[in-house]
Amino acid sequence: MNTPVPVCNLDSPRAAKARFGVPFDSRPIRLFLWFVMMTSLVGWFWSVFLQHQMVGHLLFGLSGTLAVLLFWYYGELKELAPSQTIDETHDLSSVLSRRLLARLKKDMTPVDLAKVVADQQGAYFYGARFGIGKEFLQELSSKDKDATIAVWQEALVVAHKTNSDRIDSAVLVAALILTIPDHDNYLAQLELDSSDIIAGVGWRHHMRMMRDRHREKRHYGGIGRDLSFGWAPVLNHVGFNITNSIQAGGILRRPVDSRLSTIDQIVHLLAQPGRRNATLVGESGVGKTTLVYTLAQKLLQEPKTVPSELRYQQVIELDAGHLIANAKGRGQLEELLLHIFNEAVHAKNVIIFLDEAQLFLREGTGSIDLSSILLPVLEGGALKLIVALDSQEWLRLAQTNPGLAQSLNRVVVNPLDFEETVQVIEDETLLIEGKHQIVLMNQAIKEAYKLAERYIHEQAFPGRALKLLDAAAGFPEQKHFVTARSVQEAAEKSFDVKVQTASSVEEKDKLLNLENLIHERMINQTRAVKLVSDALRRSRTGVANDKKPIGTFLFLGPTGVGKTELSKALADVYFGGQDRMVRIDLNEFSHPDDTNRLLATGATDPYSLCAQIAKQPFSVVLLDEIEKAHPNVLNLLLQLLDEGMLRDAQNKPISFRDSIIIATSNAGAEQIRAHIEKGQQLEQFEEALVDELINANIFRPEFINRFDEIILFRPLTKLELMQVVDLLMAGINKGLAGRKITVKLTDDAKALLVDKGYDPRLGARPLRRVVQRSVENVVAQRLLAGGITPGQTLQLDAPELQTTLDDRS
Amino acid sequence: MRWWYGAGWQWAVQRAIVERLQWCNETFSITALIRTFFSPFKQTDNTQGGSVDVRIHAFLDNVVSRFVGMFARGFIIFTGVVAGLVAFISGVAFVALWPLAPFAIPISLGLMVLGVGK
Repeated sequence: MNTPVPVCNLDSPRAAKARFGVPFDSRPIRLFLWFVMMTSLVGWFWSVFLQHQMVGHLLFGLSGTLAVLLFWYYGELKELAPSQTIDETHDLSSVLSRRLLARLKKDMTPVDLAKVVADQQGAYFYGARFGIGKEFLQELSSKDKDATIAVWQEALVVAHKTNSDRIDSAVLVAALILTIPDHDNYLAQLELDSSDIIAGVGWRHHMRMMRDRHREKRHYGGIGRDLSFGWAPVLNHVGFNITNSIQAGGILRRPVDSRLSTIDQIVHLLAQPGRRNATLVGESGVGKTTLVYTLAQKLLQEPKTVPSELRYQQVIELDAGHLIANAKGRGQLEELLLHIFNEAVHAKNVIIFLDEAQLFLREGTGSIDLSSILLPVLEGGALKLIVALDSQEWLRLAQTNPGLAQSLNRVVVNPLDFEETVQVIEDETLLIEGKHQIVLMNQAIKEAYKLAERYIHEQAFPGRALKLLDAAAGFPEQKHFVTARSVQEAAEKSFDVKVQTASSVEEKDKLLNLENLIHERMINQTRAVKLVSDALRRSRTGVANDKKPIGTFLFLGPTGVGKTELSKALADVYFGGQDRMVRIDLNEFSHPDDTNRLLATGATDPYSLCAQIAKQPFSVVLLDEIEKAHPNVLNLLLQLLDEGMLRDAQNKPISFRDSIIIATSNAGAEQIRAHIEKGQQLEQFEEALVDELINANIFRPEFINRFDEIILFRPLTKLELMQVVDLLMAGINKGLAGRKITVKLTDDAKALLVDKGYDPRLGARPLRRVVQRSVENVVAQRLLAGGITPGQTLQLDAPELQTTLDDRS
Repeated sequence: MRWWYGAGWQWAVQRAIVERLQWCNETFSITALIRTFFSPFKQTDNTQGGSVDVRIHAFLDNVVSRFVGMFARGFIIFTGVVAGLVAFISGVAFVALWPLAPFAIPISLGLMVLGVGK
């Protein structure tokens, strides 16, 4: 492309024509002129007839002049085609759209241009679809008239990139945005980038094209089109005529590039002699049905691009459920289908479409096995047939009925990539918006792709993004705009996850004070608490890798030091309750086949790891006593730690990317205690201990390496157990809160409990039992004896607890 | 003026003659009907094989169907041709008058000055 120095000659003939055409844009003015012209014409004939020929001369002059004006407007001024191409022009007046050109003045600044486009369609489009309103443009555009050249240069570049034949309001708005100094930063705040702005021009042009085509004639082929074809009354009764629905004004689709060759392939297969069928094989959501609609549209609207035998062919979809409802028994059903096929063959203008064809190939509720009827019909080659099957069903058919599979011509339909998915969604925009009375923003479309990629695994693109966008329509923001936030909300509600980054003050506070909140529930283990809190903060601010779980940790240390308690505290404080913790005791998974139990689907075992996470992905997964699991189980967990994904027994992917994975082990507990007793800090022997565990073959290095952090828990000291007593007492008082009774311990009583409950090998667990045996028993006895009344505080001292403990021993 | 007697006149020919004839052809499916003029009309069955009786019956059905088809198609083709002729004649008149339109006022003034029709 040349890089001309753009000038805009407002004295050019094209600029003058643009200005001249402005009054005619008004529909009332045009109607008035038509009325006057027609009346004058009628008056002219009338005056000739009545011999008032002087009046007639005047009316002739008037009608002729008005005719010139009106036909000039319709023939040239209305569209005012560019007089040069974008690539060769150096005078912008030759490529500007008429509406823009008519309103330009000399020495305009970018702000003036922003004001000119403010009330034009392009500006409305960017305001609604991207959230870039006219105020934004006018506030940030330069007020320097020398900067206008840069805007025009950018407009030429944008027009070139988007294959536009002229600079219209959409192109100019895009250019104005892209020439704002530091525009990348402003766009980033709106979750956009320059490529989105340029792509917006294509989207706008496409929507305009769809609107124009929608206004075009709707009957293709004329009134005699179907006269030479036969009647198919039964088929028309039981089937759905896709062609008719398109003719009646269905939404127009443009096939994406990767689908053009697929459509050509289907056309070729249907037109060839022999087995005239096409079997579309692809994952659910890949767009097989849409492809058939696009084909039907092509046969109807572009007859010259298809072989003559396929021109104006009607594509009629058969629905298995509807067929079954129309037949009383199996015999009648087969008879009905044969009759339908016979009608289709003799009508000569019918292509039968079997969507979800597995329903016609398998016996079951709502499905029928008609393969024995289909096979001879396909072999005969008289019937034109399109079949849609998902990949799994095709493999099943190839295995169970190879004869039928061989007579079907397979056409593989692959999922679309990001750009093509966005294009398909843009095509569907009007349909979705009409259905839900909303406006879809560009950010919502991009977010739908991103989140669908992460959370919807049972479908392929573009279907998975459309599904999420459909759900997001239920969460519009102000003025019915569906934004990226709407999509996030829909994903959170649909998949029970948190996808929005921490935004509320409450959540930010919680994240910043996570350590304190956790320490309200557990004593010490500061380093472990900090590392886990850091992982959550990274995830909730969007810094973490979203292709992995939120965090993966291996907790090593003696029993009773808070490994499980930290997991529970995390589930409680951040994930919304202890029921958000999925606990799997891996000592129960010590056999090679136990992997199956982890992968069982919800239908067979609702408490398997996969079933629980499929139901509740936003969880803390606690894998207890991991060293006792069978190596096969550990191998399975490698993938989970690495990619955050497992496939369940039905091969359905289960995402762990919204979970924190915590594995615990008592391995190395003795070594930790020995190091601590020598007065060493955890950090000093951490690496050596891990090496020791690897050398002792307790853990394999590749397994250890998969964790984000390996965290050592140190044994609790007596002083820390004093604080654990306080926590345990807080728990008891919480239980008694309903009776308005408070229990307190003297310092001596606490010291006694710690003394009795301290066992360096077992951590805080013996202490809990001692508290149960002493404090809880005393309180229970006093309650039964009526020795405590609501509102009272019960203070227990050491001798009293000692007596209770002595009694029990 | 340049547009009126250049691209404008071509536009007038295109809109008033070519597109209107195309519209008639498409609306009345004239090309398609001529191509299938002798085809049977809206057949629902096309029995093949069977006894002589059945074959004769099918043959007669077919012949009748073709005659009905010829009549129906002939009628539509005729209507389409008439519509096309009307469109063509009016279009030619429109295109012929096209160059005179810019001179409507001078012509009317001239006629008035000359006192034509007084």
